[in-house]
Amino acid sequence: MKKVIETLAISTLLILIIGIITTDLLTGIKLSLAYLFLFYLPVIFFISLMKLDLLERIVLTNLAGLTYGSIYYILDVTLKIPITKILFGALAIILTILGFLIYKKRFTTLLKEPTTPNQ
Amino acid sequence: MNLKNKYLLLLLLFFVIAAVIRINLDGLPLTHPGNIKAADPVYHTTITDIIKDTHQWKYYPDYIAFGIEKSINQQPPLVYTNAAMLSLFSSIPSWSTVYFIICLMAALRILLIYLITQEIFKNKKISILAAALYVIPFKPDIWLYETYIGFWIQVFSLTFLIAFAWLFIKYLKERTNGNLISLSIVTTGVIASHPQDLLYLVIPALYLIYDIIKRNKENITKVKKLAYLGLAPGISFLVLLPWFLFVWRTSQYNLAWNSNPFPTDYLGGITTPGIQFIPWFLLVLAALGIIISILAKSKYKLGLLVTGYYLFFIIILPRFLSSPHYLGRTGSLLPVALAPFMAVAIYYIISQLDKLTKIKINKTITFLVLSLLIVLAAYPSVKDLQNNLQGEHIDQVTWESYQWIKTNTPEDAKFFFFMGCDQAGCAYTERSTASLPINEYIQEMQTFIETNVFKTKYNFGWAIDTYWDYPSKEISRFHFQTYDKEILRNKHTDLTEFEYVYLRDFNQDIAMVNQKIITEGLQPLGYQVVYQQNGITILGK
Repeated sequence: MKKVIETLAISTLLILIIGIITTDLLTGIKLSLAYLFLFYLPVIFFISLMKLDLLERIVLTNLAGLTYGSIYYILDVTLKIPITKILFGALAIILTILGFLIYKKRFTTLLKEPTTPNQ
Repeated sequence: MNLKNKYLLLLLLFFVIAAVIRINLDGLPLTHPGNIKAADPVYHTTITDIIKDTHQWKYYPDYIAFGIEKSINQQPPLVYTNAAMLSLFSSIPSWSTVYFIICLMAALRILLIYLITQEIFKNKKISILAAALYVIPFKPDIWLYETYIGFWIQVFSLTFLIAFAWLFIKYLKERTNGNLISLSIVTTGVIASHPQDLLYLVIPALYLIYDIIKRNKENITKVKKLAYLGLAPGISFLVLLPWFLFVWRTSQYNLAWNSNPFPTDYLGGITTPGIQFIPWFLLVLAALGIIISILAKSKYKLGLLVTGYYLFFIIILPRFLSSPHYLGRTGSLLPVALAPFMAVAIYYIISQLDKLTKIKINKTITFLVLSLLIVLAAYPSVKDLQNNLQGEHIDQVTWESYQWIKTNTPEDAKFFFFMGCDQAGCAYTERSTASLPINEYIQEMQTFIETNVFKTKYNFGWAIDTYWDYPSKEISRFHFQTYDKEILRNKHTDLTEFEYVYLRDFNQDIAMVNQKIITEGLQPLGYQVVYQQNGITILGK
């Protein structure tokens, strides 16, 4: 979990700093929180499953966070589902929970794996 | 603090500086779209607003479609969807969220240059130098054009391409499933943000498929790995297949000899930036770095291969294509592609000086300080550029009149703008808008003053003309039909077909002419003043 928190904290802090410098405190906070919720949380658990160092995780979290938005035009074009604020929010929450569960399961399994006496 | 963190901290500082500099060129105004400096950004932000307002991306609204039902949106969806999401959840207007995301993606290249250089040269000092060289590229007016005026969605896709290059090199070294999934993420990003750039990925993707099939003996492993690589981009591609087949097909790259693929007369060539805009001393360094790398070819061959592949696409291939416009734009990545080699040359020179002089210097500190100095040295030029970009195409006064139009006129109302529609800005009214270009306005009004005969038939220009570059409508889900752009262009030819007329008194002379247009031209035709503020007059029937 340290990997997840570390990546999220640094990535969001960077957006906050950039937001505050280029706008104002309130707008910077709004931008960074929206960025965290929409682009970082839905992908961070999936990215953290990969063996990457911190910098690589930050970069890939940013890229994946901006790529999963492709789901919306697929929903729009194939299923004609209106792409509304509610859908954006709901999918971000679902992906975050799904990612968390997969991440948790993966690391719980790893911890439960039998070890040899020498280890 | 350990050494690794020093590099990381400096790199993240470079990322922040790069993002802030790019954003501050145009700014993130919250009151009005003063950061929209040209027509292209208008198109990008209006598509974002369309998603926010109509809750879909697929079809154009009526003010663009001009009554054609199921008129297909020709703009690729990803950037606009992301900007719409960010705008809806932060309450920050779309003109600022699109620009914010674009500038962040441009700044992300700093981190990617570091990662690529690390993969190639395995040397943090060279990597941090390479990253520093792109924080403010020398001649920022040329190399940052892509953001401050811009080809915004291509900034997005080109960053994905750089990431692909990094991950491709990484895959060839590690061959993990994670590498394949990461490659699929960035490929999907290219498909959904600027599909023309897929051209660059065809050969590497084929090689990856070949590599997976060759190296894995079991069929199930092959299928799994191919799925990791191709499932997400495959789905995205299939969903957009009708666009590839019917909408974007007119922008295909046709083979033909082209002696002058990127004419540089238009805006001095900054829309298709080339090697001629890189300062000579940096070119010398890049050449030296490439020679050093070639001499150690077995060590750095992957880096040379990827760079050579890119240079082939922007220097050689365009000579064999009839319309290589988008490849020319990719020239904006030249400072990214050459930065690692410039850094190698600087590293080599310093190492040689160190050997010759035998002065004991702390190399880590030397390179960290040098990186900072490179960024500081380029700062004055970016300050000059920032000062030159202070003007606004859509100022507060104009914006207020557009807001009045959006609030007080029917959605299907048609507007005629005398004196042109500067850089398509009047598309922001979200109404059908025709205009008379400023030079024709002057000519026509001189005739009006001389003859007292008010003409109503003009050669109209349309603010949303570019949205019709690939005019297509949906017949059924897998059947699209192209329609004639000229039909839309000539749909209205007479001023009296417009319910509203928009005039602006730019100066006292124009104010006098406008007054004559109102009293002697428009009022006899039944138009009455409905809005008059800050030199802007709107008349309605």
